[in-house]
Amino acid sequence: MMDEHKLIEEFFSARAQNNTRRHFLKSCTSALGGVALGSLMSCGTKYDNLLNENSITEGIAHFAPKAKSVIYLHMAGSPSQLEMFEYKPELSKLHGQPCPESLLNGKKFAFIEGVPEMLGQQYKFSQKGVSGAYVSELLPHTGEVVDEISFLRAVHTDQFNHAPAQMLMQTGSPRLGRPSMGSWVTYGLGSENKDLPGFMVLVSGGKTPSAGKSIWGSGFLPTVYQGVQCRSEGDPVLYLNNPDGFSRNLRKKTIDAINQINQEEYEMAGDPEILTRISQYEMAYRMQISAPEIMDIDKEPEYIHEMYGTTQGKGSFANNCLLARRLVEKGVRFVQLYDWGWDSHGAAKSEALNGGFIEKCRETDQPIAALIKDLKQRGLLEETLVVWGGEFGRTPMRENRGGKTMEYIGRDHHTDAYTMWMAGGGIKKGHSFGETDELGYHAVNGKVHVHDIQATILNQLGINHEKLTYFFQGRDYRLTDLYGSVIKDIII
Amino acid sequence: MVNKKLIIIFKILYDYTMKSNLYLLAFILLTYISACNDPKISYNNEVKPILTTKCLSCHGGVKKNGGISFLSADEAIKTAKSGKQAIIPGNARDSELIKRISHNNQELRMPYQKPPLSAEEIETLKTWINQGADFEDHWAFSPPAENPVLNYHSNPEKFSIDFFIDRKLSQAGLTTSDKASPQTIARRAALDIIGIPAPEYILTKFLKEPTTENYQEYLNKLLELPEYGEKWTSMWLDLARYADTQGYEKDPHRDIWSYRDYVIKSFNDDKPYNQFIIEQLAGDLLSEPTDEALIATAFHRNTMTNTEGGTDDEEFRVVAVIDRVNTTYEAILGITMSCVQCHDHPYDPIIQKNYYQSYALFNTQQDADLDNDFPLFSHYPLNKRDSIRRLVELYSGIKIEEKSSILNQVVSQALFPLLKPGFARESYGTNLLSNNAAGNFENNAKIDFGNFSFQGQNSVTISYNLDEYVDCTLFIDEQAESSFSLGSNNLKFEKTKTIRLNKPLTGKHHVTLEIHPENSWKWWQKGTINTLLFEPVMHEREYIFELNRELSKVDKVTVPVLKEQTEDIKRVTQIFEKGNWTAKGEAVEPDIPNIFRKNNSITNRLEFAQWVANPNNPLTARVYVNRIWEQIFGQGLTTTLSDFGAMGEKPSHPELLDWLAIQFVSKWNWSTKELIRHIMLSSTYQQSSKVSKEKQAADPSNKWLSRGPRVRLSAEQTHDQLLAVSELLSLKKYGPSVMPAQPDNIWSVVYSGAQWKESEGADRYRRSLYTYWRRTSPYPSMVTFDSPSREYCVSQRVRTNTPLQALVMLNDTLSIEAAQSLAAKTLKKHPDTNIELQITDMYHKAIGNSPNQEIIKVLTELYDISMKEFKNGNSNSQDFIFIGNSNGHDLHFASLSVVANTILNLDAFIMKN
Repeated sequence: MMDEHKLIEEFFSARAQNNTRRHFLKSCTSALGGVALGSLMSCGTKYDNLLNENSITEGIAHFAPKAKSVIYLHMAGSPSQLEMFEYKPELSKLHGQPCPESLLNGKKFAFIEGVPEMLGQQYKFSQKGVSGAYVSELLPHTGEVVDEISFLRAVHTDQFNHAPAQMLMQTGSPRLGRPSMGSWVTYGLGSENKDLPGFMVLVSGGKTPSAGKSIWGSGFLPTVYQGVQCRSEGDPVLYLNNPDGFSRNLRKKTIDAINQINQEEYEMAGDPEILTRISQYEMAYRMQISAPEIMDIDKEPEYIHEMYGTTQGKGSFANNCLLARRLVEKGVRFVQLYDWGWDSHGAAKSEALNGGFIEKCRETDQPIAALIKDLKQRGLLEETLVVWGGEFGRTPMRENRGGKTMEYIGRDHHTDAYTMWMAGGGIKKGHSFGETDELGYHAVNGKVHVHDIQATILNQLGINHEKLTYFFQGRDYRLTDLYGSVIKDIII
Repeated sequence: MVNKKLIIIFKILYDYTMKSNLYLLAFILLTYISACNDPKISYNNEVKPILTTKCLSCHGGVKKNGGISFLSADEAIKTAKSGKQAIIPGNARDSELIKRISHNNQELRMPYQKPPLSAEEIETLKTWINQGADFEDHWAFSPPAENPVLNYHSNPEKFSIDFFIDRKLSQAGLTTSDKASPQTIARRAALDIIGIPAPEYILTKFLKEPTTENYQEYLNKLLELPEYGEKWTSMWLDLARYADTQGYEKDPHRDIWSYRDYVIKSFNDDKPYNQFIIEQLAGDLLSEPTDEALIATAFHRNTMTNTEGGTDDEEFRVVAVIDRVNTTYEAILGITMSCVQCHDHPYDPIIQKNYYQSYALFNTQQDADLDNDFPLFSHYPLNKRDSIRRLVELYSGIKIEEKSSILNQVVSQALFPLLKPGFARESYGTNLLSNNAAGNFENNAKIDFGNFSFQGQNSVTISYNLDEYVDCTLFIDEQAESSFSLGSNNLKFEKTKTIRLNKPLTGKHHVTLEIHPENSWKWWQKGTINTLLFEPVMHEREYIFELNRELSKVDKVTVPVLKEQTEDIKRVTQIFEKGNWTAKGEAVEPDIPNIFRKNNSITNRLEFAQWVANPNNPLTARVYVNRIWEQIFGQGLTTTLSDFGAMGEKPSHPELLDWLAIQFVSKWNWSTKELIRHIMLSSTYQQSSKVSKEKQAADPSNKWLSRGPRVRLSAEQTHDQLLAVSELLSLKKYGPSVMPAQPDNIWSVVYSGAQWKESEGADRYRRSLYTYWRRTSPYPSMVTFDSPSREYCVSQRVRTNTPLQALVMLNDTLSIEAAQSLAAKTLKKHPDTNIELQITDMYHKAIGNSPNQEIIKVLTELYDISMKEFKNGNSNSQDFIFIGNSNGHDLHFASLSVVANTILNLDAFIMKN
């Protein structure tokens, strides 16, 4: 009798575990997803064994990962590679000349009309570091870390409008509805932190990117995988703060009461979902404590603030870089930064290469360099993959909106070749891959697509991008759609 | 004995749970069971699963390696590239398929480089081929039919939902659960029918005397409440991807809430589902469309419009058309047509050409991704239509049929000889404004006023506000009557111009005005043409100006609608090679997919809609019945709501699904209310949701329904319930979407100055389906509770259980406001200081049951802790309390609010059980 009882007991607990995950993983066939959920939902409670067991190691990755986490710095609006990293003296020689027909045939532009003029490089370039990478004078700090970086100089994309291009970059498809990269990664790997979501989003520049919040949405994956936005004003995470006048202790007591009554409900009703709810309330409480702590950068020493150039008490890209480091330090899997304001058309001073662009470089140059140095001095750079780039690049021609010469200087959207870079997380140091022609217009060699970037990011995390799939509406979907190959050349 | 057997089954289950996956186990058991019972191999139940999982990915619709596909009989028995025949019906031994799956050579053995088929699987295939290799139709592609074994007609009384459920339960060795308490059933049914707890006056009688009759009456009363339509509309809005914005980048506002109101009204009127479908797919093509039917076509105008600079309108028009095809099939027909965009369906016998035959139906409408969402239908809001009708009848004496066609045309006739563009029959290249004037002219703008009976009028006076000159031509019966120029340099003053007609008009004539601005006017130029007045005014029609004045008090609204292109410019549809819209292939005509084509062939959208809504359509009723079932029980009889194809989950109760579909169509005349009523009257529905460990083990997902549903409330139900139990809820119906409290800085959309401006008064507390839905930045608490962002059709919400949901329920302003309001209402009702009584009252109000002693104890202790907290200043009641008149110093009220906040976070509150 004893044995029978034990057997049923054990079976029940095994099935309860299965059942709890059922809602989320109805159609997930890979072991990966199961593991992911386990760790996302695990909450260090007495129910841990019920909700989260089974070998983290078994399915955590397809092969040994080089990186544990990712910090993705997306410059929304798309910065001009020709004023930052692509040194093209020939282009400057052609400055002011009409653009040759051959460059315009069959091309689609967002704003350029008729025959535009070539636009020489607006800033001086010099070689930096041992690797001798060219960097513009607007990025003195980045110049100091080029020996940590692999440049991808011939990235191309299919989309020449912001929203679809951002979507392609972040979700693998230009159309809405697919999960973002961070969602895929947390779905595959879970979070290492039990008190924080595995995928966090930091936005600066005053606006959400053109594609809206769906670029950190979970698409058809369950919403547990969607990016959680940290905010610089109001609650650090939506709904995190207790109501006014409500102490932390009182919140603790209310959650205790809720869980006590729910526990009783469980004993009556027997639904394992109640146990999940109990642990989620516990995690909510722990998030209330840990998230503000992590997001309170005031406690960082002065030299760190100086290094990043933070503005205390305000939201800024520099603050977000520092936050990103703090988050990966705590085991957050995927930290996505968006900085808005890089769309340098020249239609207004704020979006001109000889205007707002200088300011954007100034705002981001020092914090990005600081982030790399800071990660390195903490020994975190080896296990943190840092990615930098926009959704496309900018034309070597000067934009002539309406067929007229504009008051300020700017470049139009360019999809054929632009620069991105990666550092840390098993990426070669002081390296460069790909090359464009002497005008920076077409790729000459080492051309890589957005899907290749995604494949490479997943690869560094130990995931085979072809195998991380989710069954939805009759077929398996993956981040890289049907494409993508790992850029082996930049991997150690 | 029984125990022993159970133990053995448990042992096996247990072993498999730990070692392997359950699907394998289930498969083995199924195979075992079916082999024992029926020597005839069933293609659908036994063979198709093998082919689908093991063969079709290389030999299916997409890849036909070696020239062989097992998708249909035709393809499977033909001679392959090798010259051999994969399947020779009746002859397994010589069939290449059998040779290859049992081949010794690894290079030749199939599936190639994958694990071999099991001996049982090979045996199944052999037997099936020997029995003649009968490729039956996929179950969901044949209409639900009379079951030959059960014979529904012979004894209709015998059959009910419970009959089918009980039958499966006994097969699974399970028993039903006890009936849930009347309180639980009452709450469950109210949440399912109206989405909020039942009003007291309906509830009391049933709870006092919970008899079957009273339960029936309780359900009927709930079904008659207008809140019923609001609850069920939420489900449909996900399918229709309804939102208040255009979707891309700047994500500008779109007026389309009339469509939402149409859906609410349709549910409340219990409009037959077939009519509901026809109106939405092709209401504009009906011979006498009503306003409702035109507004219904906005179903497919919920596709997104791209207004980003530099985008190719044609590209995004194509995207919208593709979305219309995919949504139609997913939402209404439950098949994954989107697979067929680029290639033949990998698992279902649908070829790529079929996709574009459906595409052709949605490719010939006038909309073209224009920023202004043209074409629009300008109309009176649905809830104002009755008063407008009465007004027209009162003044004009014209009797208006209840179901009379388009109200605009009725009003237009009543006002004649005063013509207003807003009541025109058709208009092109101009926007009709809420005051019925026309503005924003493009070149060749045209207003077709329709036909009118003239009685000797010989001049027309046109009034306008214009600050530029435009050339106009007045047409009478398609003949240019007069060309003239209108304009002034002051927008503010209304001017008039009188034109003499060539001769006095008598009898019926058709009036059209064409407008030719020099440049298409920009939207910020507000110039309008207001009225045309034919004179002399007949003596007996003096009412016209009074009627006009009354009508002017009601603003009209617009909604984007479907409208066919004229025959001469209709787009031709070509197949997109590999789904690439720029690689156009063979031209195709509209039609339905091959597998559904019998002798019928369809040529336009209306015929298509009628095919979809035909009683013989194998999918429509099944898919809908299954959706309703899922809303009520938390999972469908077929769990994949949007995939009834080969890759979809097979129904747990196929006979029940078919029986319900048949009843729904033939007996209940497509009535949703009848369907819901029948489901809720079943004993199955009324079971307690409590589950023993044994039952949980034997049926963890409650697939066999041996207990009642226990499901987390939807985003809408959660939000609405908070408002309802705290008596904050406004029951105001219809109208433009509202903006309840939302945390600051949520809307920060590029190139957009749009602001979240919190609604005032009762509009802060409307039901959540009225909440303004911006696709790029949807209402955050609802998204946290798994609301989709409505960019595309979503047929099934995933129900998650996350810490972020806990934070919403604990801390969102709305949650706190509801807690304080609940406490305040209780204090008002029980002003004495009996804490237990007050706590009991709040709990009862929120959850519909009385709390037991243990719960009261926990909550009373929490109350005491709160009192202490507020007294010693750790928590500050003055800061905490923000409703009512400075009740912040009332520590008792504050502490009770803390308890209320706790109650509103209980599992019992968040769940339907």
